[in-house]
Amino acid sequence: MNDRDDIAPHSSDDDALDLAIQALPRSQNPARDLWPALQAQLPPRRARRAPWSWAAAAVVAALVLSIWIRPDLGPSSVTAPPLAQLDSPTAEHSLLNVYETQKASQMATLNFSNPSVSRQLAIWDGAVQQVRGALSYYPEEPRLLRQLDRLYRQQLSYLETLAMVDPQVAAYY
Amino acid sequence: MKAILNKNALLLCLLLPFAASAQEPIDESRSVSANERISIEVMRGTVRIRPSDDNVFRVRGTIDEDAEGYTLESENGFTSFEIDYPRSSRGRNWSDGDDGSQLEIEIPQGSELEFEGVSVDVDVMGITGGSEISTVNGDIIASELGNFVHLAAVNGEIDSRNNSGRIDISTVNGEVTDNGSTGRIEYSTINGEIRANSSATEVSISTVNGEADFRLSGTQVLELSTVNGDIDVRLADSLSPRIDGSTVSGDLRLALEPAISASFDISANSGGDIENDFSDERPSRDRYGPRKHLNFSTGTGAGSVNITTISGDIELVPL
Repeated sequence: MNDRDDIAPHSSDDDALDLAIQALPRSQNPARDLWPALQAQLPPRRARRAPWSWAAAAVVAALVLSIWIRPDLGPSSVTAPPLAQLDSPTAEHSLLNVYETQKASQMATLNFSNPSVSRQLAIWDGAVQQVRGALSYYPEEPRLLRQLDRLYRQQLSYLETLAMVDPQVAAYY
Repeated sequence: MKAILNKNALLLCLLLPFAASAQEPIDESRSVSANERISIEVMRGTVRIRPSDDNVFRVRGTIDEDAEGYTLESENGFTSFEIDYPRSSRGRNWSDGDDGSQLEIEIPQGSELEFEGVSVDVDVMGITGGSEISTVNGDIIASELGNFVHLAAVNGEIDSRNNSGRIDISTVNGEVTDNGSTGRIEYSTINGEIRANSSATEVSISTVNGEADFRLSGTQVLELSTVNGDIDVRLADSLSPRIDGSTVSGDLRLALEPAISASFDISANSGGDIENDFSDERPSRDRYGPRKHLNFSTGTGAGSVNITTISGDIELVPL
Protein backbone atom coordinates (compact mmCIF):
# COMPACT_ATOMS: atom_id res chain seq x y z
CA MET A 1 0.00 0.00 0.00
CA ASN A 2 1.36 3.36 -0.85
CA ASP A 3 0.43 6.80 0.38
CA ARG A 4 -1.94 7.39 -2.47
CA ASP A 5 -4.07 4.55 -1.27
CA ASP A 6 -4.83 6.47 1.92
CA ILE A 7 -6.41 9.29 0.02
CA ALA A 8 -10.11 8.95 -0.44
CA PRO A 9 -11.30 8.99 -4.02
CA HIS A 10 -12.42 12.41 -5.17
CA SER A 11 -16.06 13.07 -5.60
CA SER A 12 -17.26 14.92 -8.66
CA ASP A 13 -17.72 18.01 -6.42
CA ASP A 14 -14.09 17.82 -5.38
CA ASP A 15 -13.00 17.57 -9.00
CA ALA A 16 -15.06 20.59 -9.86
CA LEU A 17 -13.54 22.47 -6.93
CA ASP A 18 -10.06 21.51 -8.07
CA LEU A 19 -10.82 22.71 -11.56
CA ALA A 20 -12.24 25.94 -10.20
CA ILE A 21 -9.19 26.48 -8.03
CA GLN A 22 -6.87 25.81 -10.95
CA ALA A 23 -8.79 28.33 -13.01
CA LEU A 24 -8.24 31.06 -10.42
CA PRO A 25 -5.51 33.57 -11.17
CA ARG A 26 -2.37 32.99 -9.11
CA SER A 27 -2.34 36.60 -7.97
CA GLN A 28 -5.01 39.22 -7.56
CA ASN A 29 -4.40 42.90 -8.16
CA PRO A 30 -6.31 45.36 -5.96
CA ALA A 31 -9.03 47.31 -7.69
CA ARG A 32 -7.20 50.55 -6.93
CA ASP A 33 -3.67 51.54 -5.94
CA LEU A 34 -3.53 50.97 -2.17
CA TRP A 35 0.04 52.08 -1.74
CA PRO A 36 -0.51 55.82 -1.07
CA ALA A 37 -2.87 55.05 1.81
CA LEU A 38 -0.54 52.43 3.25
CA GLN A 39 2.46 54.69 2.87
CA ALA A 40 0.74 57.48 4.81
CA GLN A 41 0.28 55.12 7.77
CA LEU A 42 3.84 53.85 7.84
CA PRO A 43 6.22 55.06 10.57
CA PRO A 44 9.36 56.91 9.41
CA ARG A 45 11.61 54.53 7.53
CA ARG A 46 14.63 53.06 9.28
CA ALA A 47 17.68 51.73 7.58
CA ARG A 48 16.94 48.07 7.04
CA ARG A 49 18.90 45.39 5.35
CA ALA A 50 17.12 44.16 2.26
CA PRO A 51 17.15 40.41 1.66
CA TRP A 52 19.75 40.91 -1.04
CA SER A 53 21.89 43.23 1.08
CA TRP A 54 24.61 40.62 1.54
CA ALA A 55 24.97 40.28 -2.21
CA ALA A 56 25.02 44.06 -2.58
CA ALA A 57 27.52 44.43 0.23
CA ALA A 58 29.69 41.80 -1.42
CA VAL A 59 29.60 43.72 -4.72
CA VAL A 60 30.59 46.97 -3.06
CA ALA A 61 33.21 45.33 -0.89
CA ALA A 62 34.69 43.64 -3.96
CA LEU A 63 34.73 46.91 -5.88
CA VAL A 64 36.26 48.91 -3.07
CA LEU A 65 38.78 46.21 -2.19
CA SER A 66 39.75 45.65 -5.82
CA ILE A 67 40.52 49.35 -6.11
CA TRP A 68 42.36 49.30 -2.80
CA ILE A 69 44.44 46.20 -3.50
CA ARG A 70 45.01 46.69 -7.24
CA PRO A 71 44.68 50.35 -8.16
CA ASP A 72 45.51 49.46 -11.77
CA LEU A 73 42.27 47.50 -12.03
CA GLY A 74 40.12 50.41 -11.07
CA PRO A 75 39.95 53.94 -12.36
CA SER A 76 43.52 55.02 -12.52
CA SER A 77 45.21 56.40 -9.48
CA VAL A 78 42.31 55.50 -7.27
CA THR A 79 43.53 56.04 -3.78
CA ALA A 80 42.80 53.42 -1.19
CA PRO A 81 39.59 54.33 0.56
CA PRO A 82 39.55 53.97 4.32
CA LEU A 83 37.91 50.69 5.16
CA ALA A 84 35.73 52.57 7.59
CA GLN A 85 33.76 53.70 4.57
CA LEU A 86 32.37 50.20 4.30
CA ASP A 87 30.33 51.03 7.36
CA SER A 88 28.50 53.80 5.52
CA PRO A 89 24.74 53.51 5.71
CA THR A 90 24.15 52.08 2.25
CA ALA A 91 26.14 50.52 -0.55
CA GLU A 92 25.10 53.40 -2.80
CA HIS A 93 26.58 55.94 -0.41
CA SER A 94 29.76 53.92 -0.14
CA LEU A 95 30.20 54.05 -3.90
CA LEU A 96 29.36 57.74 -4.07
CA ASN A 97 31.76 58.47 -1.26
CA VAL A 98 34.65 56.74 -3.01
CA TYR A 99 33.99 57.98 -6.51
CA GLU A 100 32.94 61.56 -5.82
CA THR A 101 36.11 62.06 -3.80
CA GLN A 102 38.17 60.62 -6.63
CA LYS A 103 36.32 62.64 -9.23
CA ALA A 104 36.81 65.88 -7.31
CA SER A 105 40.53 65.25 -7.00
CA GLN A 106 40.86 64.52 -10.72
CA MET A 107 38.83 67.60 -11.60
CA ALA A 108 41.17 69.68 -9.46
CA THR A 109 44.16 68.55 -11.53
CA LEU A 110 42.69 69.75 -14.82
CA ASN A 111 44.35 73.00 -15.76
CA PHE A 112 41.94 74.00 -18.48
CA SER A 113 38.26 74.61 -19.01
CA ASN A 114 36.38 73.25 -21.97
CA PRO A 115 32.60 73.69 -22.35
CA SER A 116 32.22 70.38 -24.16
CA VAL A 117 33.93 68.58 -21.27
CA SER A 118 31.51 70.24 -18.86
CA ARG A 119 28.58 69.18 -21.04
CA GLN A 120 29.90 65.65 -21.16
CA LEU A 121 30.28 65.46 -17.40
CA ALA A 122 26.75 66.84 -17.02
CA ILE A 123 25.45 63.95 -19.12
CA TRP A 124 27.11 61.47 -16.77
CA ASP A 125 25.76 63.36 -13.78
CA GLY A 126 22.27 63.10 -15.25
CA ALA A 127 22.72 59.37 -15.78
CA VAL A 128 23.97 58.95 -12.22
CA GLN A 129 20.85 60.72 -10.99
CA GLN A 130 18.67 58.36 -13.01
CA VAL A 131 20.35 55.30 -11.53
CA ARG A 132 20.11 56.78 -8.05
CA GLY A 133 16.44 57.40 -8.69
CA ALA A 134 16.01 53.69 -9.38
CA LEU A 135 18.09 52.87 -6.30
CA SER A 136 15.69 54.88 -4.20
CA TYR A 137 13.09 52.21 -5.03
CA TYR A 138 15.49 49.26 -4.90
CA PRO A 139 18.28 50.16 -2.51
CA GLU A 140 21.33 47.93 -2.70
CA GLU A 141 20.18 46.23 -5.87
CA PRO A 142 23.45 44.73 -7.22
CA ARG A 143 22.76 45.44 -10.90
CA LEU A 144 21.96 49.07 -10.25
CA LEU A 145 25.05 49.40 -8.10
CA ARG A 146 27.15 47.92 -10.88
CA GLN A 147 25.60 50.41 -13.28
CA LEU A 148 26.42 53.26 -10.93
CA ASP A 149 29.94 51.89 -10.62
CA ARG A 150 30.32 51.71 -14.41
CA LEU A 151 29.14 55.29 -14.88
CA TYR A 152 31.72 56.58 -12.44
CA ARG A 153 34.47 54.46 -13.96
CA GLN A 154 33.66 55.92 -17.38
CA GLN A 155 33.83 59.43 -15.99
CA LEU A 156 37.08 58.84 -14.17
CA SER A 157 38.65 57.22 -17.21
CA TYR A 158 37.59 60.23 -19.28
CA LEU A 159 38.99 62.66 -16.71
CA GLU A 160 42.19 60.67 -16.48
CA THR A 161 42.66 60.89 -20.24
CA LEU A 162 42.08 64.62 -20.11
CA ALA A 163 44.58 65.00 -17.31
CA MET A 164 47.23 63.12 -19.27
CA VAL A 165 46.95 64.87 -22.61
CA ASP A 166 48.50 68.17 -23.50
CA PRO A 167 46.09 71.02 -22.62
CA GLN A 168 46.19 72.05 -26.27
CA VAL A 169 45.02 68.60 -27.30
CA ALA A 170 42.42 68.51 -24.53
CA ALA A 171 40.73 71.43 -26.26
CA TYR A 172 39.65 68.96 -28.96
CA TYR A 173 37.66 66.80 -26.56
CA MET B 1 70.79 96.11 -67.76
CA LYS B 2 71.06 97.38 -64.23
CA ALA B 3 67.27 97.68 -64.05
CA ILE B 4 66.88 94.05 -65.14
CA LEU B 5 69.34 92.89 -62.46
CA ASN B 6 67.50 94.85 -59.82
CA LYS B 7 64.21 93.29 -60.90
CA ASN B 8 65.73 89.79 -60.73
CA ALA B 9 67.17 90.51 -57.30
CA LEU B 10 63.79 91.73 -56.10
CA LEU B 11 62.08 88.59 -57.47
CA LEU B 12 64.67 86.38 -55.76
CA CYS B 13 64.09 88.17 -52.47
CA LEU B 14 60.34 87.63 -52.81
CA LEU B 15 60.68 83.92 -53.62
CA LEU B 16 63.33 83.02 -51.03
CA PRO B 17 61.01 82.80 -48.03
CA PHE B 18 58.73 80.40 -49.95
CA ALA B 19 61.68 78.29 -51.02
CA ALA B 20 62.86 78.06 -47.43
CA SER B 21 59.46 76.90 -46.18
CA ALA B 22 58.78 74.35 -48.93
CA GLN B 23 58.34 70.70 -47.91
CA GLU B 24 61.68 68.93 -47.73
CA PRO B 25 62.01 65.51 -49.37
CA ILE B 26 63.03 62.52 -47.30
CA ASP B 27 64.31 59.10 -48.40
CA GLU B 28 65.88 57.08 -45.61
CA SER B 29 66.22 53.42 -44.77
CA ARG B 30 67.71 51.26 -42.01
CA SER B 31 68.19 47.52 -41.66
CA VAL B 32 66.09 46.30 -38.75
CA SER B 33 65.02 43.02 -37.18
CA ALA B 34 62.00 41.05 -38.36
CA ASN B 35 60.19 41.82 -35.11
CA GLU B 36 61.50 45.34 -34.63
CA ARG B 37 59.77 47.62 -32.17
CA ILE B 38 59.05 50.74 -34.15
CA SER B 39 57.68 54.05 -32.92
CA ILE B 40 56.64 56.83 -35.26
CA GLU B 41 55.51 60.32 -34.33
CA VAL B 42 54.09 62.65 -36.97
CA MET B 43 52.07 65.60 -35.78
CA ARG B 44 50.24 66.42 -38.99
CA GLY B 45 49.96 65.28 -42.56
CA THR B 46 49.29 61.94 -44.19
CA VAL B 47 51.14 58.73 -43.46
CA ARG B 48 50.86 55.38 -45.22
CA ILE B 49 52.47 52.36 -43.56
CA ARG B 50 52.93 49.07 -45.37
CA PRO B 51 54.82 45.83 -44.70
CA SER B 52 58.19 45.62 -46.42
CA ASP B 53 59.45 42.62 -48.37
CA ASP B 54 62.73 42.69 -46.46
CA ASN B 55 63.81 43.58 -42.92
CA VAL B 56 64.14 47.27 -43.61
CA PHE B 57 62.61 50.42 -42.17
CA ARG B 58 62.13 52.78 -45.08
CA VAL B 59 60.58 56.26 -45.16
CA ARG B 60 60.01 58.35 -48.26
CA GLY B 61 58.06 61.50 -49.02
CA THR B 62 58.16 65.07 -47.85
CA ILE B 63 58.25 66.48 -44.36
CA ASP B 64 56.11 69.23 -42.95
CA GLU B 65 57.14 72.70 -44.11
CA ASP B 66 56.94 73.90 -40.51
CA ALA B 67 59.20 71.11 -39.25
CA GLU B 68 62.84 71.76 -38.58
CA GLY B 69 63.87 68.25 -39.53
CA TYR B 70 63.43 64.68 -38.38
CA THR B 71 65.07 62.15 -36.10
CA LEU B 72 65.61 58.55 -37.13
CA GLU B 73 67.30 56.25 -34.64
CA SER B 74 67.66 52.50 -34.91
CA GLU B 75 69.53 50.16 -32.61
CA ASN B 76 69.09 47.00 -30.56
CA GLY B 77 65.75 46.13 -32.10
CA PHE B 78 64.22 49.55 -31.49
CA THR B 79 63.62 52.10 -34.24
CA SER B 80 62.08 55.50 -33.74
CA PHE B 81 61.19 58.09 -36.32
CA GLU B 82 59.94 61.53 -35.39
CA ILE B 83 59.29 64.76 -37.22
CA ASP B 84 60.91 67.55 -35.22
CA TYR B 85 59.37 70.96 -34.71
CA PRO B 86 60.85 74.12 -33.24
CA ARG B 87 60.20 74.66 -29.56
CA SER B 88 58.01 77.59 -30.53
CA SER B 89 55.55 75.01 -31.93
CA ARG B 90 54.57 73.95 -28.44
CA GLY B 91 50.93 74.70 -27.88
CA ARG B 92 50.27 75.39 -31.55
CA ASN B 93 47.05 74.40 -33.26
CA TRP B 94 48.11 71.46 -35.42
CA SER B 95 45.03 71.79 -37.59
CA ASP B 96 46.26 75.10 -38.94
CA GLY B 97 48.48 75.52 -41.94
CA ASP B 98 49.11 73.40 -44.98
CA ASP B 99 49.21 69.69 -45.57
CA GLY B 100 51.99 68.69 -43.21
CA SER B 101 54.19 65.66 -43.86
CA GLN B 102 53.38 63.28 -46.69
CA LEU B 103 55.08 59.98 -45.91
CA GLU B 104 55.23 56.42 -47.20
CA ILE B 105 56.76 54.11 -44.60
CA GLU B 106 57.65 50.44 -44.93
CA ILE B 107 58.40 48.23 -41.95
CA PRO B 108 58.79 44.46 -41.50
CA GLN B 109 55.49 42.65 -41.32
CA GLY B 110 56.27 41.19 -37.89
CA SER B 111 57.10 44.56 -36.37
CA GLU B 112 55.43 45.91 -33.29
CA LEU B 113 54.29 49.37 -34.31
CA GLU B 114 53.45 52.41 -32.23
CA PHE B 115 52.21 55.45 -34.11
CA GLU B 116 51.22 58.78 -32.62
CA GLY B 117 50.00 62.00 -34.20
CA VAL B 118 47.62 64.90 -33.83
CA SER B 119 46.18 66.09 -37.15
CA VAL B 120 47.51 63.25 -39.20
CA ASP B 121 45.61 60.77 -41.34
CA VAL B 122 47.21 57.35 -41.12
CA ASP B 123 46.62 54.33 -43.28
CA VAL B 124 48.30 51.19 -41.96
CA MET B 125 48.05 47.70 -43.37
CA GLY B 126 49.46 44.21 -42.90
CA ILE B 127 51.46 44.56 -39.68
CA THR B 128 51.09 41.43 -37.57
CA GLY B 129 53.38 42.02 -34.60
CA GLY B 130 50.98 44.37 -32.87
CA SER B 131 49.90 47.95 -33.58
CA GLU B 132 49.09 50.89 -31.38
CA ILE B 133 47.82 53.79 -33.47
CA SER B 134 46.57 57.02 -31.96
CA THR B 135 45.61 60.38 -33.38
CA VAL B 136 43.63 63.35 -32.15
CA ASN B 137 41.92 64.79 -35.22
CA GLY B 138 43.30 62.56 -37.94
CA ASP B 139 41.49 59.58 -39.43
CA ILE B 140 42.78 56.03 -39.09
CA ILE B 141 42.43 53.32 -41.70
CA ALA B 142 43.73 50.05 -40.28
CA SER B 143 43.60 46.84 -42.28
CA GLU B 144 44.80 43.29 -41.79
CA LEU B 145 46.56 43.99 -38.53
CA GLY B 146 47.18 41.20 -36.07
CA ASN B 147 48.10 40.40 -32.49
CA PHE B 148 47.35 43.29 -30.13
CA VAL B 149 45.65 46.05 -32.09
CA HIS B 150 44.86 49.34 -30.40
CA LEU B 151 43.27 52.10 -32.47
CA ALA B 152 42.39 55.39 -30.76
CA ALA B 153 41.27 58.81 -31.92
CA VAL B 154 39.61 61.79 -30.31
CA ASN B 155 37.74 63.40 -33.21
CA GLY B 156 39.11 61.34 -36.06
CA GLU B 157 37.22 58.52 -37.72
CA ILE B 158 38.46 54.95 -37.46
CA ASP B 159 37.97 52.50 -40.30
CA SER B 160 39.02 49.00 -39.22
CA ARG B 161 39.15 46.24 -41.86
CA ASN B 162 39.85 42.55 -41.38
CA ASN B 163 41.87 42.94 -38.20
CA SER B 164 42.41 40.02 -35.86
CA GLY B 165 43.65 39.26 -32.37
CA ARG B 166 42.90 41.38 -29.36
CA ILE B 167 41.49 44.56 -30.79
CA ASP B 168 40.65 47.73 -28.95
CA ILE B 169 39.02 50.61 -30.83
CA SER B 170 38.16 53.85 -29.07
CA THR B 171 37.17 57.39 -29.94
CA VAL B 172 35.68 60.32 -28.13
CA ASN B 173 33.71 61.97 -30.94
CA GLY B 174 34.89 60.17 -34.05
CA GLU B 175 32.90 57.52 -35.88
CA VAL B 176 34.02 53.92 -35.89
CA THR B 177 33.51 51.46 -38.73
CA ASP B 178 34.71 47.90 -38.38
CA ASN B 179 34.40 45.14 -40.95
CA GLY B 180 35.66 41.59 -40.83
CA SER B 181 37.32 41.61 -37.43
CA THR B 182 38.01 38.33 -35.62
CA GLY B 183 39.31 37.42 -32.19
CA ARG B 184 38.39 39.59 -29.22
CA ILE B 185 37.32 43.15 -29.77
CA GLU B 186 36.39 46.08 -27.59
CA TYR B 187 34.68 49.18 -28.97
CA SER B 188 34.46 52.30 -26.89
CA THR B 189 33.16 55.75 -27.76
CA ILE B 190 31.79 58.73 -25.91
CA ASN B 191 29.82 60.46 -28.67
CA GLY B 192 31.00 58.67 -31.79
CA GLU B 193 28.78 56.28 -33.71
CA ILE B 194 29.88 52.69 -34.19
CA ARG B 195 29.03 50.45 -37.13
CA ALA B 196 30.49 47.00 -37.15
CA ASN B 197 30.30 43.74 -38.98
CA SER B 198 32.38 41.35 -36.94
CA SER B 199 33.00 37.66 -36.37
CA ALA B 200 34.88 38.17 -33.13
CA THR B 201 34.11 35.54 -30.49
CA GLU B 202 34.17 38.09 -27.68
CA VAL B 203 32.79 41.58 -28.19
CA SER B 204 32.48 44.49 -25.80
CA ILE B 205 30.60 47.64 -26.81
CA SER B 206 30.62 50.74 -24.66
CA THR B 207 29.20 54.10 -25.60
CA VAL B 208 27.88 57.11 -23.75
CA ASN B 209 25.88 59.04 -26.34
CA GLY B 210 26.95 57.42 -29.57
CA GLU B 211 24.67 55.08 -31.50
CA ALA B 212 25.85 51.58 -32.29
CA ASP B 213 24.77 49.28 -35.10
CA PHE B 214 26.25 45.78 -35.05
CA ARG B 215 26.09 42.72 -37.26
CA LEU B 216 27.83 39.96 -35.36
CA SER B 217 28.43 36.37 -36.32
CA GLY B 218 29.46 33.56 -33.99
CA THR B 219 30.05 35.85 -31.02
CA GLN B 220 29.99 33.83 -27.80
CA VAL B 221 30.47 36.59 -25.24
CA LEU B 222 28.89 40.00 -25.72
CA GLU B 223 28.95 42.95 -23.34
CA LEU B 224 26.89 46.03 -24.05
CA SER B 225 26.90 49.31 -22.20
CA THR B 226 25.36 52.63 -23.10
CA VAL B 227 24.20 55.73 -21.28
CA ASN B 228 22.06 57.59 -23.80
CA GLY B 229 23.02 56.07 -27.13
CA ASP B 230 20.90 53.43 -28.84
CA ILE B 231 22.45 50.03 -29.55
CA ASP B 232 21.17 47.68 -32.23
CA VAL B 233 22.74 44.22 -32.43
CA ARG B 234 22.03 41.34 -34.79
CA LEU B 235 23.77 38.24 -33.52
CA ALA B 236 23.82 35.33 -35.94
CA ASP B 237 25.31 31.83 -35.66
CA SER B 238 25.42 31.92 -31.88
CA LEU B 239 23.08 29.47 -30.20
CA SER B 240 24.12 29.79 -26.57
CA PRO B 241 25.78 33.19 -26.16
CA ARG B 242 26.49 34.95 -22.89
CA ILE B 243 25.19 38.49 -23.18
CA ASP B 244 25.37 41.16 -20.50
CA GLY B 245 24.02 44.61 -21.18
CA SER B 246 23.08 47.79 -19.42
CA THR B 247 21.63 51.09 -20.53
CA VAL B 248 20.50 54.17 -18.69
CA SER B 249 18.20 55.85 -21.19
CA GLY B 250 19.41 54.52 -24.53
CA ASP B 251 17.34 51.88 -26.32
CA LEU B 252 18.76 48.44 -26.82
CA ARG B 253 17.57 46.08 -29.54
CA LEU B 254 18.82 42.51 -29.74
CA ALA B 255 18.06 40.23 -32.67
CA LEU B 256 19.05 36.65 -31.84
CA GLU B 257 18.91 33.23 -33.43
CA PRO B 258 15.38 31.78 -33.19
CA ALA B 259 16.89 28.47 -31.96
CA ILE B 260 18.86 30.15 -29.19
CA SER B 261 19.26 28.23 -25.94
CA ALA B 262 19.53 30.71 -23.11
CA SER B 263 18.03 32.00 -19.91
CA PHE B 264 16.79 35.57 -20.23
CA ASP B 265 16.80 37.98 -17.30
CA ILE B 266 15.64 41.43 -18.36
CA SER B 267 14.76 44.27 -16.03
CA ALA B 268 13.60 47.83 -16.63
CA ASN B 269 13.97 49.80 -13.43
CA SER B 270 12.28 53.10 -14.00
CA GLY B 271 10.15 53.70 -17.02
CA GLY B 272 11.89 51.57 -19.62
CA ASP B 273 9.77 49.21 -21.70
CA ILE B 274 10.55 45.59 -22.46
CA GLU B 275 9.30 44.21 -25.73
CA ASN B 276 9.64 40.50 -26.29
CA ASP B 277 8.98 39.16 -29.77
CA PHE B 278 11.02 36.11 -28.94
CA SER B 279 8.57 34.14 -26.89
CA ASP B 280 5.08 34.40 -25.44
CA GLU B 281 6.31 35.58 -22.05
CA ARG B 282 5.45 39.14 -21.13
CA PRO B 283 7.15 41.35 -18.56
CA SER B 284 5.62 41.57 -15.12
CA ARG B 285 5.58 44.74 -13.07
CA ASP B 286 6.55 45.07 -9.42
CA ARG B 287 3.50 45.62 -7.30
CA TYR B 288 5.04 48.41 -5.25
CA GLY B 289 7.67 49.89 -7.50
CA PRO B 290 8.31 50.90 -11.09
CA ARG B 291 10.41 47.91 -12.10
CA LYS B 292 9.42 45.48 -14.82
CA HIS B 293 10.90 41.98 -15.12
CA LEU B 294 11.04 39.47 -17.87
CA ASN B 295 12.45 36.04 -17.09
CA PHE B 296 12.25 33.04 -19.35
CA SER B 297 14.37 30.31 -20.85
CA THR B 298 14.63 28.79 -24.27
CA GLY B 299 16.05 25.38 -25.15
CA THR B 300 18.20 24.03 -22.35
CA GLY B 301 19.02 27.54 -21.13
CA ALA B 302 22.72 26.98 -21.81
CA GLY B 303 23.50 30.61 -22.59
CA SER B 304 22.43 33.74 -20.74
CA VAL B 305 21.01 37.11 -21.67
CA ASN B 306 21.07 39.61 -18.81
CA ILE B 307 19.98 43.15 -19.62
CA THR B 308 19.15 45.98 -17.29
CA THR B 309 17.82 49.42 -18.16
CA ILE B 310 16.71 52.46 -16.23
CA SER B 311 14.48 54.29 -18.69
CA GLY B 312 15.64 52.98 -22.06
CA ASP B 313 13.59 50.43 -23.98
CA ILE B 314 14.71 46.84 -24.49
CA GLU B 315 13.57 44.89 -27.52
CA LEU B 316 14.19 41.19 -28.10
CA VAL B 317 13.49 39.87 -31.55
CA PRO B 318 14.34 36.71 -33.46
CA LEU B 319 16.55 37.07 -36.53
